[in-house]
Amino acid sequence: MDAKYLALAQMAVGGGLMGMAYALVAYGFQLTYAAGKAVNFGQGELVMLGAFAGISLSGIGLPYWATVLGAMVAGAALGWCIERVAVRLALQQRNEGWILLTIIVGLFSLSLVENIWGRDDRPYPTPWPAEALDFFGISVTWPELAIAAGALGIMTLVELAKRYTMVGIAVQAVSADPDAAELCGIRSRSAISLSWMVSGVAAAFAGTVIGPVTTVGPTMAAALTLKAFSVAVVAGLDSGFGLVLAGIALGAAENLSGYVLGSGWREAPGLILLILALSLRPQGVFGKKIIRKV
Amino acid sequence: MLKVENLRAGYSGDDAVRGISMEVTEGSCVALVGANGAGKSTLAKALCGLLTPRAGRVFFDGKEITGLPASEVARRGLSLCPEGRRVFGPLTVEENLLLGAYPRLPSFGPFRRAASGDLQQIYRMFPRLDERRAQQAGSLSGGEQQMLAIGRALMARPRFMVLDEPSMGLAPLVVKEVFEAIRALHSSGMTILLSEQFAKIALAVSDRAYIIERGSVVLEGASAGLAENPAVMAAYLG
Amino acid sequence: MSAGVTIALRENTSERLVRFALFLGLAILPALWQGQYALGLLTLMAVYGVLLIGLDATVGYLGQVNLAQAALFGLGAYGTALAVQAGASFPIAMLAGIVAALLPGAALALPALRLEGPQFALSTLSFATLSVIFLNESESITHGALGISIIRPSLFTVTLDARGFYWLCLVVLFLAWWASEILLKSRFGLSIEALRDSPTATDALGIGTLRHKALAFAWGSALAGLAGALHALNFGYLQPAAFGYDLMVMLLLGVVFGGRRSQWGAFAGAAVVAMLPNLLSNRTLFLSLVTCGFILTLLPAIRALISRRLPSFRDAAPAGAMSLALALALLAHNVEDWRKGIFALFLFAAVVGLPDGLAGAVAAALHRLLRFTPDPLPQAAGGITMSEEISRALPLRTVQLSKSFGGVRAVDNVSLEIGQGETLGLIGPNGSGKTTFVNLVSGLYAPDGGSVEIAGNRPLPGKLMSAFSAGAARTFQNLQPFSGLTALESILVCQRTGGKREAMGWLRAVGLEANARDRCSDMSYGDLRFLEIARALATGPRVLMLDEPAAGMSKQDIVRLVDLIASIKRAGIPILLIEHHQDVVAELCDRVAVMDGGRVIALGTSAEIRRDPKVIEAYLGADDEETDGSTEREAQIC
Repeated sequence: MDAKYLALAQMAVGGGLMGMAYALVAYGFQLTYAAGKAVNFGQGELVMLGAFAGISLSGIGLPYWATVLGAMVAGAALGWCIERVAVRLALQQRNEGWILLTIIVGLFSLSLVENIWGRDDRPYPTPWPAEALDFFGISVTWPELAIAAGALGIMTLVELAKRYTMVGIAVQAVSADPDAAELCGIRSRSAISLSWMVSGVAAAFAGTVIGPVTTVGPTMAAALTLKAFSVAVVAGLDSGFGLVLAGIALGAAENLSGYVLGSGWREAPGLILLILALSLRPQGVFGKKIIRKV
Repeated sequence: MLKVENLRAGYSGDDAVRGISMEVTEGSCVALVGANGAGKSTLAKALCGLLTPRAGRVFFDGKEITGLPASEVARRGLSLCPEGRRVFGPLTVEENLLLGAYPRLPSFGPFRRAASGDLQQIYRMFPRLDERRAQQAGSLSGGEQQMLAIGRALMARPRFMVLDEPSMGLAPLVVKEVFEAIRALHSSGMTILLSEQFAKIALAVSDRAYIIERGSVVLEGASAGLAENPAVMAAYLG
Repeated sequence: MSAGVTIALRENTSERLVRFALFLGLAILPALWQGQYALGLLTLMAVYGVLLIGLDATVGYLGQVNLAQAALFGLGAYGTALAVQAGASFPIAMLAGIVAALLPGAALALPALRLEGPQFALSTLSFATLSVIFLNESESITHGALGISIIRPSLFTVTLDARGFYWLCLVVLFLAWWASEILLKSRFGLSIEALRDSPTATDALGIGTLRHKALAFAWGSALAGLAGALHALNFGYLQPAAFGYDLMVMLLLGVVFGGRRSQWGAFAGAAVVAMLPNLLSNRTLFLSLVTCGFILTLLPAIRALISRRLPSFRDAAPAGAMSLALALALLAHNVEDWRKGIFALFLFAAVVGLPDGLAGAVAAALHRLLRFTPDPLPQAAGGITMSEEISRALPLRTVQLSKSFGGVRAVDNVSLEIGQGETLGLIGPNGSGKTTFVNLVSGLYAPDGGSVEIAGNRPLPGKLMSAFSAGAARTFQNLQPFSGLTALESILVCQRTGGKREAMGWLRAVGLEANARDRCSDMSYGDLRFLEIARALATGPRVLMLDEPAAGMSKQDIVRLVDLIASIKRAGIPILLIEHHQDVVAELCDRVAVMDGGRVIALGTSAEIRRDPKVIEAYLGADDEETDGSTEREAQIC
């Protein structure tokens, strides 16, 4: 194969694998949107906090898998916290204040990270073998594979839990009709809290698989929020696995445009696509249309 | 079993329920009858905790339940089958039914097995739900959705059921079918409060009735007697 | 509390006097308070003032979280800087700044303004990120991250020193404030507030939602460009990184803390945004400010405890945030390291504890203490009359209109007509499809089948504005008031023609003349129902659709309502009346259509309808024996 095309293909594959991580973070948006029609504008900060929690745990000598578990527990706690502190109040008042409040909580987390862990990027230690795998001339590293496997794994797990456990079905019921769910004895608030916890788990887990590829630092948060949000909105805030496609597409587009236009431009095509997608189909490419009621 | 004292409730503006007192004894079927807009649904919601009353008290089994969240009221054995059916459209018929039994089922364990006995009973009662158990509830016809809503409420094994406008938006033949199910439920010993705009059919099913007009009880008594009362007709057609 | 000092001035006049004094004070401040540092801060405050007044147009008046203002500010600054480099004169460079923000702002507005809430916030955030990327990467033009330097050109023949430039900034701020006030208190501004409260109602009443949103956004962008131009001329050195997310968060802090929907609020916010970063370096001052803030936030919780209830989350949360800030101020080695964290805590306390911001809180306190002379109201004019030309076409005709939701046919083949000057009643049991029918006619829903004709026009299906242009006006079963407006203003934004006098006329027609100055959020439920009718009438409809106007009304109000509808009818305006109260329908309607299960089951005069066994059955339900008979009858009809 022509070397130039091979390089492009290499870029696309690498980007696509990274895009799975965006899809995973975006999945966190979907979970909370379904449950309470709110999303966390500080989701990137959650990813970052998860990654730093993992780094600290590995600093005290825990193995990689234990750091991942620890980060996920921290993510659940943070997710719960954000719902309780920032979102619940604003949603009760039925205004858009929650957007501001989640941005604020994100900003505070960022400041926390800067002061606890410092402003510099750090590597995330992993046990993966250093050498890359080779598929038809395209090399794929172990951490990249871990992203793909981890993202698909978590999403599949949560989707299965939504369908095949009573709690999961109850959460779906709350998202369809909170009042009717209450009448069935389901505590809607707890279900919403649970969704935020799972969303936090997904974000923190994403941090532990993204970290080994990109290094971890305070600057990762804002960019990740934006990318994940783009993926979620392009796919539609209510569409399940459309996310994975949108994530792969964004990741690949990003890498390719970085390669073709220069590294500073890598995020631009994704953003332009996002604005276009929003203006043409506000409910998302795979989303359903909303009916206004009066 | 249920006792309501001087209940007032409403959304914005004037109270839609203006000081209603009533009582339902165990094993009876009581109807709330009145034209639409009379305040029946507001009353039903205030009883079940979907709406916090502005004044007055509600007792269930001798304990006060005023102002409790709906999920708590439901867990105590008072099940509301809401106006407009409110089935979970994106979920399957069977999932809808299972949700009715939610507080009783294991959160992560084999819930289908735990509920299979109750499911069989509901499917025996409404064979059409059995045929459509894997279908999305939102794609059912209005009558089927009403059966599903009643089935879902029954899955909670309630000791008391409130049925709010079970006939709403249904064709006459389907209304008849739904009311046969309600009658069967009553004869099996269930205590029922039936809020219904169709006076004749509601009075035919119930033992006692309260006639409601503009948020207040204007008449009460044995259903058989009320069915003959010309004042009932007047409450509707002015 | 109602006893207060009475001021022999109107509120507007007093506000203008105070504002004038403020600007006078600001202008002579540099003469009293020497020093480059202070002058720099004051200039920055004036520039941010312009910027925040612009941001308030979207965040406050439109009620949408706009994250693009910092980027637009940057684009404006770069536009001016590049123009200066190209040798442009002072005014041309300023103009270049405005254009450099306005054009991209307009390009963003077109797609973004169809969006709401999180989607809008996201699209503006993407735009902001894109802009910074653009500034960073177009190295041949902007010198990328290295930045760009300019020397301030002279204004005509005058070379402005720092103090002169400060005065210029003050003048610009004054003008921007004044223009914003005029714009946002005009009918245009009122419309923007109305559409924030109920976009459905504004579309149904012909207040073009999209057009107003776009203009508000454009105004905000132009001010961002103007502020950017001043900023570039002030500092003479620009870097893309300065216009990123950090600045955006600061600006939001400013608007929210100062108070949304208020130029005073934007100004107060600008002062905070300009001063705050510099406060952090003076530890004693900062500490005392945080302590004051903490004590203030404790008040709601204490008040709750005094009245012997547990403080709610809302009462306690701001105090929690401020106590954290206090702890940081006391314990942190270097407060400036915690800049973002401290801003976040302040912002949190402000959003939760002061939802109306500083300006809102001060205004509320002043309104309790002072009583101003009210604005005079104009004499009422006009009233209920039919619009001039009477067309021959039927006011309303639907042909086999159908709509399903899921498996349920909400409206099933409904064909109805309303003749000239006719009042048609639409009754039926709950859930029989009456409101869905009105939603189809008024363009809220697109029908699955069939067509709608309004006064001879065929509006586009599912478009509220199109149905409105054809002549439909409606009220809503669940009230859709413009909560932020007064009764008079609610009418003003809905009128096709006429001014305040005519608006007063409509209020008089529905008996709300005395409520003209009342805010909708303070009006009683029954009065709001009358106001909705007045709003619909003010649009000069060819057909008026009233969806359960008597719902929730007291008996006396219903009597008033019947009189009102009767007078509308006398004026010859065709009415579609959905109503539960049979007596109301019987008194007013020429013909009555009865719906059941989505279909029209009977049509005739009120007396005919009452005798119709199908109708009695639909309302009272059938006995078992009758049910079988009725289905046969229905089968024959079909």
